[in-house]
This record gives sequence, structure tokens and C-alpha cells, in this order.
Amino acid sequence: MGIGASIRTIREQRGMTQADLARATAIEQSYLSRLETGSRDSRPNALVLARIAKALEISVDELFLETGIRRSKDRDAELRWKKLERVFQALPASRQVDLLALADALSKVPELPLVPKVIGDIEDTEDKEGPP
Amino acid sequence: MSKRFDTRLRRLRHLYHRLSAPRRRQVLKAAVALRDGSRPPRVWVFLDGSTY
Repeated sequence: MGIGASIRTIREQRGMTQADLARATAIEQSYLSRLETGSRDSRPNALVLARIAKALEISVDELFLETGIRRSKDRDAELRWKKLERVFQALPASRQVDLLALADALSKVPELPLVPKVIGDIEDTEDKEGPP
Repeated sequence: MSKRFDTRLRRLRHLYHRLSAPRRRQVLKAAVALRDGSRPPRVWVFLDGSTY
């Protein structure tokens, strides 16, 4: 997902029209339209992105997280939590409960422990024993 | 936001931060699927603790 598609996704989640976003950022709607459709002549600079992020009530980092651009692991973890928080807010209460049940179940089951691979050893032993 | 929502969010935060990275991704994937109305991914939890 490009940055334009990311902006559109978040804008629509917020229930904003392009005109709303244009008003909130003082950016021309025609430019926003080109930006969201990924036109070549619409690479936004940092200030434009900052204004858009502010109007969408998210950080520029979160805007980039939507695009799938990788970052450091800690930062990723923090941004993923923020994304989950945002998605969780958008869910109806019953679905929130469903998600909690999933997270609860996953937290109760222990992780698969690392076990040494012994398959090769077993095969070796069988070869050595041979037929009686 | 309602008090009940705050409680649920606090509980999710608590659980989420106890999970490993792959399991956190599963929770996020499920949340997105629930939000978008698509079928949430099935999570198989085996007796030895592995998930699929």
C-alpha cells in the first residue's frame, strides 16, 4: 500500500470526505485526490504529511505503518499496538469481546518450546543396529 | 468512550503485551478481519502450545 492509499484508508475510517480533509489541512482537494490515487506528480513533502496526519489525528509514523514500510522492532511493536487500539475502537462491543477471548486464549497456551532435532540421530541408530 | 470500553481496552493491552510477536500479529490480523467484516482467520492451538 502506498502512502496515498494509506491516507485514503485512514480518512475513510474517520468518516471524512476528501473535502473535509482538504479543509482541515488547507490543502487543495484536487491535490489530495491525486495524492490518494498515487499520481506521479503528487509526492507529498514532510510538511504536507504532517498536516494530513494531524488532521487524521494520528502520527506520521502510524501513517507509514499502514503502508507496510518496515521500521525498528521496538517501534514496530509500539505502532502495531496503536493500530490494534484504533481497530479495536472501531469494533462493536460484541466483536471486542470476541477479540479479547482470542487474546486471552493465546496468552494461556504456552509457547512451543525449542526442542533439538533428533530425527537424524534415530535414523543413524537404526542403521547401526541392522537386522538381527 | 464508555467505562466498559476502557476496561476492555485495558484488558486487551494487558493480554497483548504478554504475547509473543507472532501471536500479536495473529491478534492484529483477527481484529482487522473483524473490523472489515471478512472472515476472521482461524487460529488452531495445539496441545503442545504451537499455533497455526
